[in-house]
Amino acid sequence: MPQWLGAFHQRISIADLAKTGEGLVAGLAKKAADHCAYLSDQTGNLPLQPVVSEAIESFPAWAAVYQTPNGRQVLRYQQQRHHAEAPFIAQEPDGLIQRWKIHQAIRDFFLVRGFLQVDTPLAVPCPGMEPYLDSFPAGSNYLRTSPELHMKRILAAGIEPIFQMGPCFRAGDIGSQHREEFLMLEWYRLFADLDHIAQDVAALLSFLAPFSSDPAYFSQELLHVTCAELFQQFVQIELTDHVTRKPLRNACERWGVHYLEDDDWDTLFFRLFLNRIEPHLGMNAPTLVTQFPASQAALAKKAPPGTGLLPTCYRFELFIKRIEIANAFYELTDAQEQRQRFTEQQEERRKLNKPVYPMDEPFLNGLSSGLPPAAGIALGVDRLVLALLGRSSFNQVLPFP
Amino acid sequence: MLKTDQFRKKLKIEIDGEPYIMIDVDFVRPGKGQGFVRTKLRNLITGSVIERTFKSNETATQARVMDQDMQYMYADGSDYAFMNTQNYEQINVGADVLGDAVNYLYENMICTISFFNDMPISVEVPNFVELQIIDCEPGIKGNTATNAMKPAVVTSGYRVNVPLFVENGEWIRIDTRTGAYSERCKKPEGR
Repeated sequence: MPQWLGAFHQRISIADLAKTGEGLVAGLAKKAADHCAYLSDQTGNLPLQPVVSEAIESFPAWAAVYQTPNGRQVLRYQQQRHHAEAPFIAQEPDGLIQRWKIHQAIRDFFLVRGFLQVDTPLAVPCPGMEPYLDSFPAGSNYLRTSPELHMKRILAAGIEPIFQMGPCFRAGDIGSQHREEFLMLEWYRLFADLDHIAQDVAALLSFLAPFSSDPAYFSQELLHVTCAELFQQFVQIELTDHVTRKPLRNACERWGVHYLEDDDWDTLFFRLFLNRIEPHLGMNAPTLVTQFPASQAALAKKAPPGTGLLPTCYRFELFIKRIEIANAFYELTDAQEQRQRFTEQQEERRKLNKPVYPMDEPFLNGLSSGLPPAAGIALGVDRLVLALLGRSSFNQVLPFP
Repeated sequence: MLKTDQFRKKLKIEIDGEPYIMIDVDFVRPGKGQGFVRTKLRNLITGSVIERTFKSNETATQARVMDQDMQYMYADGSDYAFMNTQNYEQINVGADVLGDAVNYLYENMICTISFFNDMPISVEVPNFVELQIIDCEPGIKGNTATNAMKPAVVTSGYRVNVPLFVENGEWIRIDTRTGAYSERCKKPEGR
C-alpha cells in the first residue's frame, strides 16, 4: 500500500480538488460512452488520463487518486464485481444512485409542500383485513400489509397533511412487479377529495420527470377514464351492476379469455381487465382509472347510486405504461359502515381458512371521533422507479432482488 | 393436479386435451384483490402461443409428455418409421409431425421424439447434421472468396444452396435451425 494512502483522513471532494489542485480524492472509476475513464463522487467527475486509467483493469471499480503539483498516483481497490457467482449487489452503481435520488426527490416534493413525514409501526395486531392479502406473523403481531389504518388514526388526531415512505409486506406476492417486501409511499389530506390527490399525482410525476428516460411522458396532464368507459372501449360491454355475471362470461367467451364456472363477478371483472384492458393503460400518458365498482371499494366511500348505472366508489388507480402504480381513496369516514365492511371481510377470511384478525378498535374509534372529509393514496415506489427508468422487471432495478 | 404456486417456466400442462409448455409465468395482484398468474403457453403440437390468466389456487393438469431417443429406419409413403433403441419397438411418424426434420433424416439417425399420451407430437434433430450431396453442378476450383452459391440436393432429398467450390459427392454440414449450408466435412464414421 502506498504511503500516501495513510492520508485518507485528508480526503477532499472532487469539487474541492478542482479548486486546490492538490489532495486525495476517492470514488468510483467509470468509463464514459467515449471510453474515457473518470472518477466520480457526489460532487463531480475527475477525468483520468489513459496512462492512469490503465492501472484499472475493469470498470466500475473503487479507486483513489492522490494529486500533487507533480502528478497523480492511483490506487485501485476492487475489480470484477460481477464475475462472482453470487454478486453482492445486483445492479450497476449508476442505476442504484438514480433509484435513491428518486426516493430523496419524493421526500423533497412532500416536504416543500408542507407535508409532515410520519412513521407508523411495522408489526401490528391487525395488518389489514383484505381477505386475499396474506401477512407474515411477527411474534404476537403481523407485519403490516399497508400503513393506512395508522395513517388515518394520525389524521383523526387532526395532524395533516402527512406522508410516509416505508416498507410493507405481503406474503406470497412474488412476480416481475411484485415482492413480498416493497416500499410504499402513502400521503393523506384532510378537507380534500380525489381531485386534490390527482393534482398531487400530476405534480409529483412532473417533479420526477427529470429522472426519467422519457421526461416528456411524465410532464403531461393525466388522462382520466372510468372503469365503465374502459369496458365499453376494450370489452365492448356495458357495466350496469356488479352482480350479473352473464354479460362478463359472454365477453370472456367472445374474447377467448379463460374463466371458471364458479368465478364471481369481481373475478370475471379482473380476468377481462387484466387481459383486455390493462395492456392499453397509460401507454401515451399517465392514466387515472376512476369509478371502480362499489364491490371493490375497500376503504373508499361509495358513490350515491344512479339508476341503471354501475354502482361505484370514490377510488382511482394510476397506471403508467401498463404498470399499476397507485391506488387512491376518498376515504370512508363512517365508523359504522367501516365496522360492517370489516365484519364481512372477517367472515370471508374465515371461509378462506385464513387467520382472522381482531377488529381494529382504535382505528374505528378514530373514525367515530369525527374524521373530516379526507383523501389519500398508496403508491408503490419500486414500481414508480421501474416506470421512470423504463424497465419492466424488479430484477432490473432492485439492489437486492 | 398442479396449483398456481407450482407454475414455472418449462412446466407442461394439458388444456382441452392438448399439451402446452409454459414459456412465461408472472404473478399479479390487481389492487388488493385476489391474485392471478399470467402465463404464456406454447402448444407443443401446433407451436402456436396463447396467453392464459389463472386465478391463484386454480389448478391445471400436468401433461404426460415423454421424450424418447428413436432411430430412423425408412420412409413409407408419407409415414416415417422409427425404432425405440431400448425395446426395439417400431412406430410410424407422419410428415406433419416431423415438420422440417424430414429434410435431415438419414438411415440409423438418432432423433428425440416427444410423445403426448403415447402419441408422437414432435421430432427433434441435432443442431447440425452431416449429409452427402447427390446432385450439383461441378465445383469451380479455387473459388473460395466469393459468396456466390449454387443449388445442391443431399441424400434426404433436401435442396440446399452451397458455395461454388463444393463438388458432387462431397459431405456437408447443415444447420438444422436455419436449414442453411454450414461447411464441408469428412464422411462421418459408420455412414
